[in-house]
Amino acid sequence: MWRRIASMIVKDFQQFLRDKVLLAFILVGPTAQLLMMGQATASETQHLATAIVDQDRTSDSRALIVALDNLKTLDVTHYLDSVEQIDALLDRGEVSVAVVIPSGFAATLASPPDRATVQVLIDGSSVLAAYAALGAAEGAIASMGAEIAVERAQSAAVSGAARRTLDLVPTARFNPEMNHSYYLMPSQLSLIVLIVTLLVSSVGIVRERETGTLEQLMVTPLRRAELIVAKATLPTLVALVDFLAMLGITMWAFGLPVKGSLALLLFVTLVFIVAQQTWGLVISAVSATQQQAVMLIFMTGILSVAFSGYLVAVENMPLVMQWASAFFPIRHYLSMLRAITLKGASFVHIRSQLSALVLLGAASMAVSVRSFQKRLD
Amino acid sequence: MSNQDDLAIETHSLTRRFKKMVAVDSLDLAIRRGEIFGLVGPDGAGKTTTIRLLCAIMSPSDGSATVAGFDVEKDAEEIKKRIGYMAQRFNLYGDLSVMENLNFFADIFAVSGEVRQERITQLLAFARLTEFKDRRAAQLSGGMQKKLALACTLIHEPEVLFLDEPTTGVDPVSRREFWDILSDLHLRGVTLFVSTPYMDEAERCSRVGLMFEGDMIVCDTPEQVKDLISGELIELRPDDLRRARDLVAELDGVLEIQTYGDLLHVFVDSAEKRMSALEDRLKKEGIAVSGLRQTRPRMEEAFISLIRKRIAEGRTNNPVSSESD
Repeated sequence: MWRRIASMIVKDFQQFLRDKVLLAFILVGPTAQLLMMGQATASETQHLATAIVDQDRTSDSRALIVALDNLKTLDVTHYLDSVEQIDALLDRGEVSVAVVIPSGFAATLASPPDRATVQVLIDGSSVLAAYAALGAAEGAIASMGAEIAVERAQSAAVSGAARRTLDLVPTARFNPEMNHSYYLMPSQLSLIVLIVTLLVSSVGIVRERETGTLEQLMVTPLRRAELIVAKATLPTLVALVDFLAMLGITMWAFGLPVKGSLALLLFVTLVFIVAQQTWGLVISAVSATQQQAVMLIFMTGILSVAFSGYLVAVENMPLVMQWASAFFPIRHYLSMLRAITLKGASFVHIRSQLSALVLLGAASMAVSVRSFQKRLD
Repeated sequence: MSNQDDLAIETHSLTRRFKKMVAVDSLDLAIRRGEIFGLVGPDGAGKTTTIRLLCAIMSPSDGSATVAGFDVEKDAEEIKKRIGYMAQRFNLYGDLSVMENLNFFADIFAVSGEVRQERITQLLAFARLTEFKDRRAAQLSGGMQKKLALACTLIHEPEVLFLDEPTTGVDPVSRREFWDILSDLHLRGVTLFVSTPYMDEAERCSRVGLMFEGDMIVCDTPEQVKDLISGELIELRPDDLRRARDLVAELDGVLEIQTYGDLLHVFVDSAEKRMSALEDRLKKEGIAVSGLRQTRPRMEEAFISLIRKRIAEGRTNNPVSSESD
């Protein structure tokens, strides 16, 4: 039994390594895409010219301005006297961001539970820059609020109000730089893993069907389970290696932080690959030709982009779409990937997503094993 | 019917339907061990489906079949250890070398150690592929690919070998070579089940079955099949085939006319009685005739005649061309 599986795997590897087009697609394509995307988002979202309208003119407002200026994302270039001047600057593209600190800012800060408000205006024509600026400003403002709360907690007697402000702390700490390429990288990684897994697994089977070798294998003692296990091995390894390579690139070239455990990250990725494989099996079962399989994979890819939270955060989707997204393994994987890399989540934090992923994988495995028979009819 | 143990293949009312179409209709077959059985018939007759049913990779809709003593539904895996199957299309890994293909199938069939080395060496020599053993399978000629496919299906020394149109698309020299190999296997006692569109190949079988629209119209030795034809055969080469055909059809004693290239095959009740009348009639109409002779009907004529008879009986709706060239 193991011998048959092993020889099948060896054969698959030989074929894979001789398929130069597939190799290029899997290695060169994603690498180039990651590099370009990272480069574009990094240059587009750094040192954005920022105008400040400080109507408060207190030490607290100045502290906020310094905090904003210290961000890699924002460079304070203009100090304006009135809000009316902002539009012209934004129109001319001289600044991408404007921050308005209203009078009474410091006073409000000093009197909890009132919450101080800061207005942020953004040039929306550059979406990435806008997101980055907004995220950065939000981060800086939130962390400043937190610091003030901490100070207050230390100096004064611990009052109920101070404790409530302290509750904000974890939100404030989450990715204060809000570097957009950091946010985008995990999405891209998850999509690469998805496409590579589906492509290698279904092409591996459909090609055998197309050339007639699958029919030949059916008339051998090779069992169905053996064939499935053997056929899952190559895509799993390839996708895992590809993931590691791409993760390496993002870490090395763009400094994507992996705050959580790398082992957990790999484990979660492995679960995702296996869950996705079963979908690949379903695709191979219904595709007569490689062309059909590739089209189905593209469709899966497009739907996955829509439902994974790649472009629109799941929380911001219409409710129906949010429910639908629960059936996409990539949604759970991506949220875990982000949580582990950006937030440093541990096993406890991702339990529910991981169970959802396992459940989905098991369900589609049941379907796929049924649909994959050692018979032609 | 002979003793159960002597039968390599046995079917009872074996039927396979695809939606409304009946691909194989109540097939009853009994093939002894060591036979070369030829399955002939036009495209779409159900030859491939029959072979797939017998190889246990397709389930029968009705009826039953045993191969090498095992039931195709209950003991499919036992059958697969004992048979070899060569599908119609080239079905090996084109991106692997000849040697890699052989090794792969040896692994899958658990042929190992010295036996494996010995067999691979033998098969390479047998298929005359020794000097090409490192060449990628896709880079072999059509005939060599077929021989490699055959070698791969022989790696586990199957008791029964199924070959689905093994020589279609192969040049005549390679075809002859291929059949020489099959004859060798026959001499070694392997049961061969071969489907073929070529009638000359059918003549080399110990028995042939003619399939048409899912039915086995006839199943007998080539000699017996040829004897089924009523009447005697006159062959001639007229210079106006079309007119000659129409004229001859009106003559007394003519049972059936077939065209073969620019030859006319005329079945008559008695060749001796009708030959001169036929010649006279054509001459009178100014049609020059050469090569007029009485000849023995071949498998080809026999099958066309049998299929026509079946169509005339109105048991089918599918018009079939009588041209066989």
